[in-house]
Amino acid sequence: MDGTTIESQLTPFLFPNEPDWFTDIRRAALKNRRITKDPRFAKVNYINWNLGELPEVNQVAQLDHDDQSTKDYILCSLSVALTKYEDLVKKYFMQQALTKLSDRLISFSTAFVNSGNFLYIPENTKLTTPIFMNHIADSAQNEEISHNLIVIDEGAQVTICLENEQAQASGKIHRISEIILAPNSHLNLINVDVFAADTDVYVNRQASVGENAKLDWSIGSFSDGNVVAEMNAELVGRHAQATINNGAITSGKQTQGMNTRVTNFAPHSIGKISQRGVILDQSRLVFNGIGKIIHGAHGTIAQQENRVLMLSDQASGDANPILLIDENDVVAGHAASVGRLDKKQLYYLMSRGLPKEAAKKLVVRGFIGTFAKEIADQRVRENFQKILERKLTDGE
Amino acid sequence: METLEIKDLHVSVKDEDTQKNKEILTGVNLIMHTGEVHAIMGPNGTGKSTLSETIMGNPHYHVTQGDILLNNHSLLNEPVDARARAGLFLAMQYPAEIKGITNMEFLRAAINARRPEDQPIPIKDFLSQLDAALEILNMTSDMAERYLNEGFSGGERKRNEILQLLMIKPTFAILDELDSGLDIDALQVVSKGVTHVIGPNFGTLMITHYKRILKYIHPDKVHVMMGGRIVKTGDALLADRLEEEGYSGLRDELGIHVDLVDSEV
Repeated sequence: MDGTTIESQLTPFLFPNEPDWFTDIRRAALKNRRITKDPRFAKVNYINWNLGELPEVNQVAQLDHDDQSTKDYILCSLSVALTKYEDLVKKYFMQQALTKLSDRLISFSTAFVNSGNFLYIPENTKLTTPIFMNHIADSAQNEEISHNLIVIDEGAQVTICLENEQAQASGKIHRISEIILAPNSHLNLINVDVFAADTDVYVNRQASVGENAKLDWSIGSFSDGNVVAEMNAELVGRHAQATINNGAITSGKQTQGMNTRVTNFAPHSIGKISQRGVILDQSRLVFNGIGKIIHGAHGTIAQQENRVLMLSDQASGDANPILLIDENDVVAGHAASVGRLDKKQLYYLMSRGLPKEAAKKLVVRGFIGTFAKEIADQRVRENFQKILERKLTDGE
Repeated sequence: METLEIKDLHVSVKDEDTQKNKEILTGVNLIMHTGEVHAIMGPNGTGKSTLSETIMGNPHYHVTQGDILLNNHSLLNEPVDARARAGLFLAMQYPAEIKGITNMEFLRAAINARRPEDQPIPIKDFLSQLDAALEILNMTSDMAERYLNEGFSGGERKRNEILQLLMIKPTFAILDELDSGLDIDALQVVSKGVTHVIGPNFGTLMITHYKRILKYIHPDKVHVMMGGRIVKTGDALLADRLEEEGYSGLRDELGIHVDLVDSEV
């Protein structure tokens, strides 16, 4: 492909006054897109979703110039950040969390990024109220190809709730998020995904956790559309900790496939993955839990648990735990199950007068609702529960 | 006055290994009214738990003959939840553990299952009833926030069953070996809970091996079960006699040919 073609493909996507270094990243990604493979989601066939295909550009991006920053932190769209906070963005964008254009969808999403948010929590900022960070639509008319950058600087503490509003239009969504935890920081991150039916979604969330930093990550995968999602935490600093709780519900004819991964790079780091899924109707849900310990990361802990509850004969699901360990002095373990409702539990509830349907609902809610109960902030917790409830009810 | 009647009840269970049906109950007859306290005693393996689970409607047990009637209405075709709403309650020996559902949520759901859908119990009323019940049972309020039976000790489980009894207020309660695994203090507390609900509008059927719980909850009638049916009925004195002579004495007196599986006689 010659230079002119590249430019003409990229032009409609460029942000206004986009810095050259950023456009250079797009160019590299566009070239790379031709030579890299699709990401692997074991036991998920998403080839027909046509992800990573160039969308029709209806119009030049309608940019939101809103800067929602406060005295405590910076929050604005990526396009605004690229001009207003260029140095900060340049320091972190694809430098720590996501560093490689390792597959075709990352390359595609990087080349054609048309939206995204930037959130920066400065050093030692300790916030007691959570930040609700809804997707700031940069290009309401176009398919979302976003890149979100969240930086928690040294010693900062914050709770962030990211909830995407259900898009009206059907289509494709590509969303990359980088989450960087500098040393001694603490982040409670809550992602609630409610992508609409008729959407095909690629999500890639990469977290990098520094020394003594702690990531408590709760994910509610309550979309109605087809989703492949990569959730990855890399423990790069000594004593770094990450806990990923992923609760998923699938219904209708949708498929959700998730690679949830924690990699212990540094000694004495602790990684925990816990996934619980409920499968309804004719849907499919796959959990690939991947715990990886790099050689030299001694004294580390890698635990994971993947459990799936199948509520329909026409549904299908998988819970695949994978442990890749290249170090001796570690504690690692996994548990996995794909099961149906426990008859003994149902009988017990019904023996107290609950009709069968109500008993079922309670058991299911209990099974997947444990994650909600672990969310400390009341407002965030209630919101998470509300959306979970809605998805369960709709799926019946 | 309400009546629970067991008529010539025969029950069999499918053995999971051999897939053969085995008859456990061989013709149980029993009539109880509200306001009465009944106790069923009997050696191990005689079908006491089968009787209680069958009355409640556990689908594992198959009624092959006879009937279970609540106020002359047969319950045989009613599923367990309908029987519960009709007024039956079974305090189980081995209640299920359910992670993710708090005791409180569960109790509210159970109470609301008995009310019209658009009239759930007001939170205030619920909480005051709960506080009162917790106090009777010497339970702390954090029990209400714990997951249903999860990680409960034997004693906590029994208390929790009786907590539900106090909150749900059934017409007839079957208490299946409420005394097993309880120390004296816990037995007293749990008995206090049961005594609290005993009254003219409540009937209870206690299943037990031992006399000791009958010291705290006084029975009007004592039935002895052997070989899958009730072989003798008497008053509280019958329990004293059993304590002295063991079940074998009664067996020999009545000329019943059953093996007492765990008996040394």
